[in-house]
Amino acid sequence: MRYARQRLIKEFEHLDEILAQKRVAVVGTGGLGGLCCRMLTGAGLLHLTIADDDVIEDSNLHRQVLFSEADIGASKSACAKRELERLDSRVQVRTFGRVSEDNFADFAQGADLVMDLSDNVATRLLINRMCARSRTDFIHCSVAASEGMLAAFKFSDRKSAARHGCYACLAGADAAPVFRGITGPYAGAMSCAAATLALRYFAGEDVFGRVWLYDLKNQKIRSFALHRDPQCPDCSGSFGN
Amino acid sequence: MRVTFNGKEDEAADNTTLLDFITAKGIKAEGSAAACDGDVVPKKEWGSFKLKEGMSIDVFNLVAGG
Ligand SMILES: [Zn+2]
Repeated sequence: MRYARQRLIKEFEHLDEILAQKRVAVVGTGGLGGLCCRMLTGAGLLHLTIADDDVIEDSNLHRQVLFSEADIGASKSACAKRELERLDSRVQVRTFGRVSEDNFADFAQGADLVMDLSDNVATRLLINRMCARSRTDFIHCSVAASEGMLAAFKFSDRKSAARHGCYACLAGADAAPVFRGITGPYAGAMSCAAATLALRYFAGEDVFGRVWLYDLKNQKIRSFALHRDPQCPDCSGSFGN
Repeated sequence: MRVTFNGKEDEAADNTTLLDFITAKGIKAEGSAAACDGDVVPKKEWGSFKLKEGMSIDVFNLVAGG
């Protein structure tokens, strides 16, 4: 039985049965998204929507575990779908290119959770804004060099959202993170941290309203409570004062 | 007054705001986020947020890669 060992973990005893009824929409199938999707499918998630408009390049292969040399030049989302179907022949994967304001509703249709595992701040702010607007629960995960950030927003719960705000409340609508390189093990560690948070959410744990900062070099994690910026342009319209 | 900055003992003048403190460290606001005593302080509040004796201040880099 595929999930026998997972079911031995007390809080995940029924997880595969729960996951079989859920859909997760993931933005990005690269260094964070690829491994995360594989972990979620492995755990029993059978419905995924994945979005990535990039093609696979040689410079991706040091960290993006779903792809190989023969995939160079091919679509990331199509190759990711192929690998997930190889892992579990039952899995239903919808693929998307670039997610925009115009196609977000289609992208997120039926999703119980949206995960932003993309690689740039413009996409991150857009996905955050659209999740807040559509009141879709949302996990943000990002990495640069040996630093990772993970945050979870319960936009489906107006009270939680009014208290904890959104990614733009935390980062600022003018957020300008510096690009500082990336490597497979650090990206992989954050992929698994994001997958773990999603699994804990589906197992019934309240994981929302916090941000976790990972110092992967020194193996330290800091965690803080999120708070809404009452003037946030990206969520104040959705969650009011 | 004494404060803790990213886990280490530090000093801040009386009436210092979080924005003053962060700016004095040479940290750029657009690339960072901050928390005081375990709670994230939204960036727009940094300029009015007064530090207090014994406060624990954490400033962290925003990262966006994947
Ligand atoms: Zn907000």
